[in-house]
Amino acid sequence: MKIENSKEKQIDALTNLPNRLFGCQLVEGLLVKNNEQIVQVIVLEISRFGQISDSVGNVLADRILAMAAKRLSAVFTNALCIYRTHGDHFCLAFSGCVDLPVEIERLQDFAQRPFAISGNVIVLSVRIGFATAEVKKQPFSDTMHAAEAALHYANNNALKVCRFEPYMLENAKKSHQVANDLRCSLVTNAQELFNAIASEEFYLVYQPIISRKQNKVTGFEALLRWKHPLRGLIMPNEFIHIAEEIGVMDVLGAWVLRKACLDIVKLQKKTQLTDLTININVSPVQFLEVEILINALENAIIESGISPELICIEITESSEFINSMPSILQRVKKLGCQIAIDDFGTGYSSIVKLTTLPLNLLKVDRSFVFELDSQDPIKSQQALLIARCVYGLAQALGLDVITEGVETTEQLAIVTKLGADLIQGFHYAKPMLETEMLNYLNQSIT
Amino acid sequence: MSNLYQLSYISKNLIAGDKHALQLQIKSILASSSTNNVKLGITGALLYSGGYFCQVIEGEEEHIEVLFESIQLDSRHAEVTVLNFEKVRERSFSEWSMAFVGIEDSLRFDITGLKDAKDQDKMKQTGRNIVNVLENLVRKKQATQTR
Repeated sequence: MKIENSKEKQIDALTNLPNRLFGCQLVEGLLVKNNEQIVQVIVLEISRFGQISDSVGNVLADRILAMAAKRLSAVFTNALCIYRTHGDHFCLAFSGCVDLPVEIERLQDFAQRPFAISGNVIVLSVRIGFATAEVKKQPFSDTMHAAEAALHYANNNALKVCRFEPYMLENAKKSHQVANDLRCSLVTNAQELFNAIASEEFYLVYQPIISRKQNKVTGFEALLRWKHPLRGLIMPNEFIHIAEEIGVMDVLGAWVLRKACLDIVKLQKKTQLTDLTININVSPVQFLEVEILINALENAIIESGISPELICIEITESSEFINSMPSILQRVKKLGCQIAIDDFGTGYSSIVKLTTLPLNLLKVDRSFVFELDSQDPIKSQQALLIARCVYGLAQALGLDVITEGVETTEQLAIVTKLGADLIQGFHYAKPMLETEMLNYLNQSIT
Repeated sequence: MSNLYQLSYISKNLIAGDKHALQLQIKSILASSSTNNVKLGITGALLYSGGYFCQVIEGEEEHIEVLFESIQLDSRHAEVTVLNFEKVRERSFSEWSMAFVGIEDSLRFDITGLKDAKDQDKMKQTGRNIVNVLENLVRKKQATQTR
């Protein structure tokens, strides 16, 4: 194999380690030279390095990377090669005789030992993907790719360490395909996008929200679906994060706002139920482009003619942008809309932070409701305790509560006893198409 | 302008064996400290307390960084928690390349409380308190030895 000679092209200037290409070449060479049968690869990523970099600045962040690289080299003298693949990602290749679980443990230990840099104490943590392969069966680059797929899987599943399994490559491939398809469907100007959406690849379904006290449907939550011409139905948890990553969430989000408002107004007119509300999810990423979001909301209100107070914007508690949210949400509120925290109880925001947001509603996450009628008395008791706390908290903060995920009569009885009024879940109805809403309302408890 | 920094930390002992084995290892740590620290102009103190090392190092910033990194690479300890790393006007252990305060069987500090502390100011204050404790212990020891 021809190895590139120019040092600048082989060595990463920041860390003085081989770069990805040269590292791969070195390992390939060593595997042949040492007649290795098995190769083992660890790919590691420094967790939340972007945040660290933002807080300490680029110069210091570069020094941290350089020191981390130096530490890796000092600790793992038994590695065949250590190199920087890109950014905050490093690769460690070992021969088959090394006990990899032990090395992974050492890696976690040494990675989280603090660095003292320029008066700062920096403590890192790492995420790890690893793979093992027979040398003769596949090129080393494939093994490294496998370890990277395991790391990707670890990232998506909040795992610290993940061993490669073949399905992870399939998942990564699928996710890549979804991203490509999404780009093809959405990378277009807004008007063309609306046309594309009019061809019904993207569509909304609506799940009713029922008031127990008023014994009627008070409104609907709009939920996005993607019917791919070849792949079939794709759920939001499979594509929203990709839409966010590739920067099309503002266009897609604007369409959701507009379409949901138009649909609910149409329904209000047909049924004379002029106070039907519409809950619409807004992605945290949309808050990065505040003007686009506010414009989209204003346009949706004007075009549909909906009373703004009938729109409830749902944001997730786990949003990392929660710090910048109060001022943005104030603008949403100024337009007259309501604001709800979705998936309440599953995120990381503090109650203090929540009190700084101009909220109207909490939506109790379905995971708590799910356990309420568990056969396991400990689980059901815990769920009951949490539910009681959430209702108490909402009451103390003067907020209404929507209880999501109510599927059984037992769950409904328990949450009703706890004082729940607004209910959403399969017990009443699954999400339905726009064309089914009228029929549902005619047959429902209204 | 002086660029004098002080860093204090605690870490869990991983040296296996009895007190004698521990003493031998500490002796070796001190021996290498006295050579290296003099070269780098580092001073400080070390205490072994109930299974934990508690160390203060002071010197020029860049030297502290280098020494602290080499301390991190030592497999004889783990779970390092830095208490304070800050600029100081003067050294607390100017006469010692590494004063050894001693081996205490029972733990002097609330390690769990320290590890769980999220308040940086509180950590810093604890670090300063520990520096004071070590300073007093060194003085006491010095007084006993000169008596």
